[in-house]
Amino acid sequence: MARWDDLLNDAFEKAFPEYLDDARLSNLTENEIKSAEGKRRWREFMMPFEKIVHDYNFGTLIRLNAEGEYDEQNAMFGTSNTPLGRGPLPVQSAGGHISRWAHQAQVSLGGNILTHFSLCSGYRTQFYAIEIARNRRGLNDKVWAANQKA
Amino acid sequence: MRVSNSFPALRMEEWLAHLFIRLYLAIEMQFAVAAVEQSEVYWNLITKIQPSKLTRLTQSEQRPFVPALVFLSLIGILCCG
Repeated sequence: MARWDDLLNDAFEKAFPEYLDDARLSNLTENEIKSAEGKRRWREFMMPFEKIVHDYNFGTLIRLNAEGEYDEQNAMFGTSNTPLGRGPLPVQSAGGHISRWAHQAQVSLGGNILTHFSLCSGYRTQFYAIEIARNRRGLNDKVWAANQKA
Repeated sequence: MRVSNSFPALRMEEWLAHLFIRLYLAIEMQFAVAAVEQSEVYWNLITKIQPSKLTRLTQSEQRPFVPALVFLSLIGILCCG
């Protein structure tokens, strides 16, 4: 049932042994993923999953801190603008807090959150690898526990 | 070369360039919305179920059909300008 999760997790641990350290995995930095070396390593890690993971390179938000929620500070975004400039973007979904945050981010970023998404270096395969490892090691349990008290 | 009365100030090349840019932005918006929605679904999951007890993450969602996104974006642009 969890064959692909196992496969991803094993490959992740082999490709990124530094993330065997829980503290490192809990607190990612944008730079270590977006640096030229980081991009190269992640590309090599992701390519074998091209035919396995659906939407393996689909842009995805990744939380930098495992204990934090998806917000402007904790989600990994690209920071440059495309030459297409800025324009209005109604980011709408089911009305949850992330949509509201996306709207705020759109305003605070000066207009267009699209351009930031488009340069986001978080891919679906990265998301799976990081979050599967966090879940299995219990690093996301604090988020769950905090929401049980609330 | 003029296109039509509704675009009197634009030449064909300019009109096409505008169309492609709008199409590009519309497609990007679809992907951005999908990324936000995916994050929301995942957040709801890990706040409701203890993450260390989740058995799997992969293959639990419906895959968006990319050509359909492109087609719908194009229709939206043509209809709404």
